[in-house]
Amino acid sequence: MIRSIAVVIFVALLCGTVLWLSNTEGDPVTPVAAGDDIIDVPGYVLQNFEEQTGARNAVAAIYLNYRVYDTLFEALLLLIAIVGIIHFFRIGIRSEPRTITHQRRTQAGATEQSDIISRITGFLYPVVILFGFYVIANGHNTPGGGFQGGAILATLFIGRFIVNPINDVNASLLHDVEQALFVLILLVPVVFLFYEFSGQFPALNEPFLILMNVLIGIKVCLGLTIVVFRFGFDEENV
Amino acid sequence: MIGGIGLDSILLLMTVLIAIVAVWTKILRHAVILLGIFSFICSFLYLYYGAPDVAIAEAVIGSGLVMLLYLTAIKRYRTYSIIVSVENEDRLEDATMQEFAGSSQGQLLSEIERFCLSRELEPEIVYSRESVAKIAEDGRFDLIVHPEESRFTVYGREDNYLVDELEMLLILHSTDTDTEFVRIGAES
Amino acid sequence: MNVGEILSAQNISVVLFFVGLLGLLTQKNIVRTIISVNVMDVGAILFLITVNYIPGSVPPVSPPEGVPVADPLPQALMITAIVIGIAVSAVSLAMFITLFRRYGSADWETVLKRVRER
Repeated sequence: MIRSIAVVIFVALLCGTVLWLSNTEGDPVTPVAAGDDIIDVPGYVLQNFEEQTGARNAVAAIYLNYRVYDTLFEALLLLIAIVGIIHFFRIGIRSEPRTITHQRRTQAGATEQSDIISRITGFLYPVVILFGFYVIANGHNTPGGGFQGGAILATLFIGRFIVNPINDVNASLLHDVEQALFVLILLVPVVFLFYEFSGQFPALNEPFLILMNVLIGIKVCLGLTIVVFRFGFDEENV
Repeated sequence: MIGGIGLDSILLLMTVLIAIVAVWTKILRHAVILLGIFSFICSFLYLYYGAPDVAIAEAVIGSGLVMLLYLTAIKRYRTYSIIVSVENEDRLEDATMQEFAGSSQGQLLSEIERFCLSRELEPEIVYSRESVAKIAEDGRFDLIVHPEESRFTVYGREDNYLVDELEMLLILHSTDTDTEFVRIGAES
Repeated sequence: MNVGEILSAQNISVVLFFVGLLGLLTQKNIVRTIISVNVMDVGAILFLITVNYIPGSVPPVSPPEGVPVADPLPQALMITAIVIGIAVSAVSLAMFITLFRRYGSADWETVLKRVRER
């Protein structure tokens, strides 16, 4: 009891200190004063991104062109997280397929499906597909992009999982496809940006953005689908 | 705009309140739902502060997928799979199972079920015709019940603490049925 | 200083971060600590989104002239931060399920006691 009160007081003091420090006016720090030119990064990006990258959404211009390293390593991190999840669910479980002929008797009412939900999900299917691909393909002009569109497409598979919990998705195939897509995501910007094709052929800028968004979208969709199905059916088909 | 309080101030106050309730509420399921509402209000805030891209990402991922992952995980860790090995039965039908549930073997099972419910676990009972050794080799069980004519053998994992608690409970409460506990070693 | 200035997004995001930290330090259930980490995550994202915010800014999507525009740089980084956040919570939930299977408890102290006994 004393320990938890001490923890509460400690955290409250820490919070108060941070709030006090962030609200007091300190000495104005001079921004990077190397010689005469003061670098204003947001101003530079907002002035030049439309002609340099061919995008109309500054956020997409940054994460697909100016700071493409972030996107690459973020995709790598998602891949590693999926490998970790598969590993954790495999601990203590043999990898051979289930051979026991069995019949399940679950608790009453546990497996009953709602008719309303399955019908509404059926209606929503084409709308969600269209919306997901719209968000992906227009990510460089309007808010949206690969990550968001991929997550919207992943909700399709998840809706199917909620309506009909049968594991007929081949997870290892999806994982292989995802790894191949990751290699493509590495290769396309390395070839296009680091060999400076974007300066030589300005007409290729917009196709590059669309291609990257589509690749990232499909990869994120596959990754999130694998994660959710691993959580749903962690004992089967590992 | 009354006294400098805009829409954003109200939403920010709501996020703090919902975060406090979500972390300290009693029931885990309510905490997860409140976390989803919290993410949704935050996505409105991102939209208010001129970040529509982040708002879309937070609405889809933060309040949709994360909540689903939490709910699936809570449901997963609460299922306790009990496999009943009935080797001598030729066919597994509903009638056999109902007959089974009425006998003294059924009493043991209902006791295990009551134990699971007291621990907030959801028991899942599977009837199988395979032998115990084969089920143990397959490795997907928490508890195997093997009934013989008048006695039971219950196989549990060596490293699972719930089996210890269950053994204590069965020894204390049911003296009339002859129950034996066997531990199967951990595989790795 | 009026109420609207005290309830600014910067202050509230700091408070959110520390609410998450307090939950992380005091909660005994493992799932609740993962929820606390999520709350800390959202606090950090809200802080960085509003770090350079001028009231009345428009989103940085084909911005018109003469209007303050929201800073696009932290926004691009925060999109990746959200995807990393879901990866973190998914991996921690997977670790938690494995831990629960082995030690049969969702309570930090019980799990630690059983690990030490082994």
